[in-house]
Amino acid sequence: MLRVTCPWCGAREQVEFSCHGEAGIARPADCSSLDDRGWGEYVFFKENAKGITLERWEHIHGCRRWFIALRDNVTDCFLGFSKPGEDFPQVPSSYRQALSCASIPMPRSAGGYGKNDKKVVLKR
Amino acid sequence: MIAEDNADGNSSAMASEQPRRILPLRLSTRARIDRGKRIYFEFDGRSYFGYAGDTLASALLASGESIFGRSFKYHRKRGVFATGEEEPNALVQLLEENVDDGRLVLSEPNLKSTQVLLRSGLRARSQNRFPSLKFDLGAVAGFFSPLLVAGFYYKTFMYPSRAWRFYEYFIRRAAGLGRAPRSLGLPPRIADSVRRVGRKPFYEWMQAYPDVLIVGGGLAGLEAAEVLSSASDGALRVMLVEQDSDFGGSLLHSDPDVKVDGLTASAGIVARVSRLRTRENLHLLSHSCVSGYYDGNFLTAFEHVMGSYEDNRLPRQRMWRIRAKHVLLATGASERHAVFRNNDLPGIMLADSIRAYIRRYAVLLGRTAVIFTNNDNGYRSALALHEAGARVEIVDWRKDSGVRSEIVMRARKAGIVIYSNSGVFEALSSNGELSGVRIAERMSARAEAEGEDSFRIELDSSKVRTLTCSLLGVSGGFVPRVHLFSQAGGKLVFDSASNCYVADVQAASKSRLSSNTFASNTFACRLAGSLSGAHDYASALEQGRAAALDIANHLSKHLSKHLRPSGRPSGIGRGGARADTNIISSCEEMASAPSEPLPASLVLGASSSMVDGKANGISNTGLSAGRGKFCFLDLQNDSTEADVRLAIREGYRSLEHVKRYTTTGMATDQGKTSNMNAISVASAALETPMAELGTTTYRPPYSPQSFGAFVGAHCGELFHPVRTTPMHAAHISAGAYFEDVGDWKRPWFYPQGKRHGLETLSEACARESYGVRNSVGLFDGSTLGKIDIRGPDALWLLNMLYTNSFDNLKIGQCRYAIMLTEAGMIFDDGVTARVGKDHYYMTTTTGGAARVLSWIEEWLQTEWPTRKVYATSVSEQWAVCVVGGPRARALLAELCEDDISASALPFMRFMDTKICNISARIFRVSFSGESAFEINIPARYGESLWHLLCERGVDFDLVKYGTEAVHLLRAEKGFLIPGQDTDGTVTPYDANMGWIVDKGKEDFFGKRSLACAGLTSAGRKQLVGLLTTDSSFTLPEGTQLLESPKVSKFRRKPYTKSIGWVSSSYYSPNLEKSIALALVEDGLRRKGDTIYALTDRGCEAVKIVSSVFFDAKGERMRA
Repeated sequence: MLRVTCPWCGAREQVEFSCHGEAGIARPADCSSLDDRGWGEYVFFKENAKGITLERWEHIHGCRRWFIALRDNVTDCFLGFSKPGEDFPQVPSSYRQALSCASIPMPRSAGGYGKNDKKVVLKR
Repeated sequence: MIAEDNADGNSSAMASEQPRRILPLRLSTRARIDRGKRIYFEFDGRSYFGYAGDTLASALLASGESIFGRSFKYHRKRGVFATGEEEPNALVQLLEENVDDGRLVLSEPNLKSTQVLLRSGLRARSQNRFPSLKFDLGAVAGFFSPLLVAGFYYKTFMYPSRAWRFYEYFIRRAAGLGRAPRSLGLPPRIADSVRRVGRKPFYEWMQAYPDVLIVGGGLAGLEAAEVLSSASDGALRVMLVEQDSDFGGSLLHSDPDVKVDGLTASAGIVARVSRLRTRENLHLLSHSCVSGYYDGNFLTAFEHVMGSYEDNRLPRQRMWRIRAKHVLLATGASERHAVFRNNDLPGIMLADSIRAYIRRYAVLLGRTAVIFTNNDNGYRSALALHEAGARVEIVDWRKDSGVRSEIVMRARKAGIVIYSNSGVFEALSSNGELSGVRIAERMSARAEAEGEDSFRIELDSSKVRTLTCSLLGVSGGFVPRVHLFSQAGGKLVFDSASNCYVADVQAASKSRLSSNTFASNTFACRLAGSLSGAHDYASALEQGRAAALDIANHLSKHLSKHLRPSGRPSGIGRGGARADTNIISSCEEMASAPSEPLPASLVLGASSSMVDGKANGISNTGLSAGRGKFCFLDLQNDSTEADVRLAIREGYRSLEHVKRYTTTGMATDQGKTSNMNAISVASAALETPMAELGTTTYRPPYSPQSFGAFVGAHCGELFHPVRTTPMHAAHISAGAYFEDVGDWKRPWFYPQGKRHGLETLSEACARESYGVRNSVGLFDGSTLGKIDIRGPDALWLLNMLYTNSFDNLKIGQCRYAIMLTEAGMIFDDGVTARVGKDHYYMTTTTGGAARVLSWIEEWLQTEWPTRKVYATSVSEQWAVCVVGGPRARALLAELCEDDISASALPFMRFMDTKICNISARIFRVSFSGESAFEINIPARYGESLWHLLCERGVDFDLVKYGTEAVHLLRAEKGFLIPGQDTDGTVTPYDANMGWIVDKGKEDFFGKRSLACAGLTSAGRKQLVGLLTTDSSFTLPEGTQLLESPKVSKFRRKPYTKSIGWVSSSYYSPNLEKSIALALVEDGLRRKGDTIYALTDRGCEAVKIVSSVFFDAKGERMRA
């Protein structure tokens, strides 16, 4: 069982959380302008990458808040966490060394939070 | 004695004599039993006694019992083979008195008698024998052994496939282990768990968060505990878990010359442990097996609670869920068996276990013994036997055992006959028990070399001799217990010196196993003791200490400041790096590395004089075909070398497949003593080096654990949390039957008494629905999900969530709406009311409440975090009484302070009013199709309101109705229930609800999907009504619908494919016919068509009709 760090509550047992899959997929701003394929890719198609991935987690049996986790799904190591609106967590250089792997492919950096939200800049 | 042995050592005439099996007996030597405390117990109905400190096995062995069970397939006699958890044979079932009535009932099955501590009143019985151990009818299976080969059941009971159920019954009976206990009493009740009085046997869970978990309480583990618990002035929380009932590991039966802290090993360990027990930061847990090592240093341990049989306030077992910062594995090594013919006979044991029975339990298992070994450790067992007065001979596989070491010299000096360069290739039996062994010398070195491949080391048939014995100790070397290490993701490497797989410590130290950079997630795990290759006590001690210091240094860096001792920034307190050499004296080898691995199996080959040039002429298949019968690998599953060879001849190559096909290593001991030998045999048969084969996967649990411990307290009332409405007590007193909806208990129906007994479900449902249609009904709607939505962006949120527009919804109005997923499929529905300018009150389905709130939160938190709107669940804050029926308004008019006439409160409006001076909010909505009012009242008044309505309702012929009647009433109206009439593939158009989609809206979830080609094309399943030809016949829900009635007579298989299925189906007493809702391909275009439903009665013709069966214009609903 994993140990997940909620950016608000701290490290807790995995049973308190639910994982909602790949992060970084922004809802298209203008849905009607997309063709069927483009819309279908947003709704159904995920990277499902092996290796380091960005995931959306919800502290469902806790503060009920959502956050981003950077996880290596091969080793099951969590490499970082961030709140919505913050920059995505980066792969620590020490982890690269630990894996003795010079370049670790980063997950796609598509979109992000609040792309549809034109009111404020979310970066803190 | 020695002289005699030498004299007849060569004669094989001895074998023909009937050997006398002398009963094992209790020695008078010092041991870890308390002869002052006699304990009486019962086994197979007979009474025995033993002493405190005995296990069930040692006490029975001391009493002269040698047969403990019958083998799994062939029903051969089996005795004790080992000590502790490695025992494959001597399984027992316990019996206990039922707490309720004192009857003797079955309790825990499949316990290893070598692990069952003796206690007074213990009742046990042997397993898998009928009628008794001595005389077993199943033993006839032995005669059919040529048939019972690997895959026997797969090959034999194939046809006819229907008869499998019949076969299975007998197969399971014949191959049974213990029986699962029926019941030792009722599960615990909540009240009991508080008071813990008069309890039935129970189990519990514990949580632990130590800084360091040490697995294994042998020398290395104890030393590590000593160092770690005193490090940093005791700031580290340390846990030491040992699966034996005593700490000390192999020191518990070490030779008298081993000294711990200047005392004998046994006494020294006791002193050490009692000293450790005083440390507050050290948790010592014995009789507890760490059985699983999971992600993130999460481990589970199962504790057998001492004294729980005597004191029912204690749990039988505890499951410890341990999350450790660091783990130190010191799990030791287990001895390995050798593969030769009849190596399963009672009287054949692991050599080290023989020593353990002598030194620990003072039981001598045989007076004439042979030790077959390939390492020095076997000599220790031989010497122990010799000291105890047995006649011993040693068969040493090694070529030059003569001058090897001090221990061999001691054996020689003691006068023990040693046959070096020899191996046992067959055990002889008398009456199913060991009577002697046949040994032969190895082929000469030249012949062996010319035999060319190392997979076929054979014995010289010209140099055979027979030794008489009643006890054979086998030591085929030691295999590190790498299970937990491997579960954690550690890699194994093949070690050719010991001929087995060991932990790859070097790789582990480099990899994530030791990197603690990502503290909470990675495994921080170290190894010590014979698990990591320590061959003597001194190095085990040193390893334990070194690993502990390493961990302590690491952790002290991370200790939070307030935990650090003042004045010293970090570091180790007592002990330090100073090696205390006096802790242990005598560098006895505890698990010496075998200098020469045994071959996969020991077989007699040609004589060495004949071997030249000829051995190669014998075809390999011909040789191996008849070979390996009764050369057992897995004693518990009765799988033999022949089985593995057969599997390989039949084409199995992967070890994982061979394992499953032959069931080797799949018994309850999980192949502790058999796996390495099986790999070795497979390697020989495949002529592939063991190093290339790998091992099968090690998975938790390390050894079998009780289901009870996994369940813990989660049974009976504590199985699952239950949600009840504020009116629950009223429903119970009204005699309601309940239906589980999510975690909720909802009243299903309220059966009334009739002349004989109670109404059935359909009778009650008919009466209740009739009441709603004709007078007034009362329903508990409190379980509906209720979400309070506030904020300037509330309207925007609703417009995104729902398909229809909320722009024109005025304060005081309600609107029914449905929610779609992004894929355009219906996932929830409900009525939403506008309470204020930026304030809405949303209702959801009962089961969908949590899902909807989570859906809202997901978007608000991740996509639109700056939108000014809050969604709050108020489901539990409001109790809801639904009053519906033609007379509902009249009933409410009596109660409400305000005017609720049709003009003041029309359909799809709500009003805030007061009932008995309590604020209430009444929604004029309808799910039943009648004029209905949903009265929301603060939850604490729910029950009072319910009673008030029941009381006042008497004059209006009020009936209480449950969920069954609700479902019927709404089906008559054709209202769908998301999840029942939709299955995640139904769009609003499919549900004939195109009117609810506002295409003009800029955006809502799922809007784009509705325009996709796949969702608009023909052939989609659409929601329609169905009427049966026989109006009294109700279609079962889930019935498949067909285009044509043609059905094959054989098994009633339809010739055409299914075009839909029945989603809801009821007999409607109001319409006096049965009605159904169904999803049918292109159903909306096909109204009036006849299709067919495949039921148990055959194909029923059904007619597609509109899904609205009752009051199509909605006049009653709007009234």
